[in-house]
Amino acid sequence: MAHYSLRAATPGMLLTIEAGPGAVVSAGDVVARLEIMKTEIPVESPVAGRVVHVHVEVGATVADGDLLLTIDSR
Amino acid sequence: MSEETWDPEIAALRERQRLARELGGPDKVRIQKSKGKLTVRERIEQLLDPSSFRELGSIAGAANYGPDGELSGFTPSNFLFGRGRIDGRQVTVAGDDFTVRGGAADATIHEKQVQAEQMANELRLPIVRLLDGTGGGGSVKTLESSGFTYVPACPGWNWVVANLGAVPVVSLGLGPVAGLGAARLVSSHYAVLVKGIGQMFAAGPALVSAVGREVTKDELGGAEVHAKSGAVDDLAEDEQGALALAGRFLSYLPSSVDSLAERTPCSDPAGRCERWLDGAVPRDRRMTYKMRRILEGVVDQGSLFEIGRRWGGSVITALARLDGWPVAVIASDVMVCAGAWTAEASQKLTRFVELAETFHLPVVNFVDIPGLMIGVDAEKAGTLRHGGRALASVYQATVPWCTVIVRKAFGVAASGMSDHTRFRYRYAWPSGDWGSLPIEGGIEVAYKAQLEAAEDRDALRREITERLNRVRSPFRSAEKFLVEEIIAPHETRPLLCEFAHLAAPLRRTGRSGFTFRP
Repeated sequence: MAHYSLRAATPGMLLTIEAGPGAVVSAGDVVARLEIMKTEIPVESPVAGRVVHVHVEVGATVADGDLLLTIDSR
Repeated sequence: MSEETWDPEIAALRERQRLARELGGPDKVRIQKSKGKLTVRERIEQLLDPSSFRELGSIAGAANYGPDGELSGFTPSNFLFGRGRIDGRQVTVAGDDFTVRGGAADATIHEKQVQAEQMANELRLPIVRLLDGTGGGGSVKTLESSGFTYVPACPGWNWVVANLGAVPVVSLGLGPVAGLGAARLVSSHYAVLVKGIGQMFAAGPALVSAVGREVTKDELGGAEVHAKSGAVDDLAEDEQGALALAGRFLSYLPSSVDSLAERTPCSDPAGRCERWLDGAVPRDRRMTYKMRRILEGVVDQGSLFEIGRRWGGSVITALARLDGWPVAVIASDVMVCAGAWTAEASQKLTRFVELAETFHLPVVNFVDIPGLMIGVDAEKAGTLRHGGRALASVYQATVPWCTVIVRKAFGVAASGMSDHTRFRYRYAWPSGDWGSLPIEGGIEVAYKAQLEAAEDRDALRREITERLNRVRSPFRSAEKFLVEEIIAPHETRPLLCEFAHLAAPLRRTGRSGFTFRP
């Protein structure tokens, strides 16, 4: 079991979490959405696994590279 | 003919060349290999076409002589250079040898570096630098042996700088490089660090730790750090990958500014129309799509070569081919900052336009720009200055230029899609959406008083939005000829291939009015 740190690839405001703690995700699944410049940017998980932690609250602003989710990849 | 020959000298020459090929000796070579690194001679061999390396200065180094005047020991210079071929084309190759004094400059013989750069310049050959050295100064210990200090100057820097406006320059960071080595790495059209073995810094971990922060080489200046900082263009997983990137980059460029990039045979039909492009952009303007997929659908199959993927992400820069003709591709990545020009993206764009102008590559620009990046962080980053500079580079460019407006085009940043005073070789997709301000953000400001006075603010907002949306159709702009031609997205490839053919004879050789800076 390995912990994968999913980081924001763009600054923005966290609009939704699509996969909360416990959710099982496949590679390519949208796990969160960010908003910037009136545009919704889906955050895809590059790995399959289970979400163990969400580090940001909906409505919070994130910077490029900020940690969003920790995923247990198998 | 004399019975006497120079055979003894020829044998002595061969012996010295054999000694030089031993590099820093078997122990040092073993250490180099144990770090997972190739030796400089293995690197050169893998970079070049078989048996094409013609070395210069092959017996330059530090020699020791016995009391009889005979050679008793020899350590080669830790800088090798010569000529060779990549895909049949002549290049200059220059490599540091870490096995001799850790590649330090005091064992280099500086004139070799100067001559390598000068040869590239005067013979009009691309140069590939294989960097694996520590820096210019060596160690402060050398003060004791030399007995004096010197005012710093980078050897051959006139040629290093001149080459950026003359021949393609590729540098690969294949070991730790600091100081002079770092300056040589970044002073390139294309710089790559290899993960795990290549690092770059102004000063290494020992110095940085001494002023209070413990860091590893990779944390300080590893490939991930600098591919993200933009101090290098890309990273490679291993040395073979980096050597392959060097060859691929050069394949899109001419050998110098005095020639033009050649067309290569193309099996992908110029008339290929991808129907899926007609649905590639979502109708909902808030939603995103993958621009790289669109680019790959349009350019010659397998020809898209992106540069600088990990930094300045809202602008994609890539070399590619259209019906075999090399072109420079600029595009917006709406997955990063919605495609807005950030300070970093603006710098990346400026450098790329300079690259295209220097080597006479026609530009194709795919536009989806909501504007310059806004906000406190963006202002602190100096976005306007960097954006202004990007705009200037676009307006100074003289290479053939074709724009495709994919979706949004707002404000000053979008006005930098092309120099509007040149013939506007421009197409727009039906998803085109433009103006000086986007409606979504502009309503709140423009109708502030009315919205504040309204009983049902949201209802009024919706009503105003609907009213404005009715005049938002790109056809209304096309009626006024404010956009030249709206096309079906699937027609993009044939039209751009036609552009590449029209542009090819317009390219002019020679030094450009402005050239590349690191």
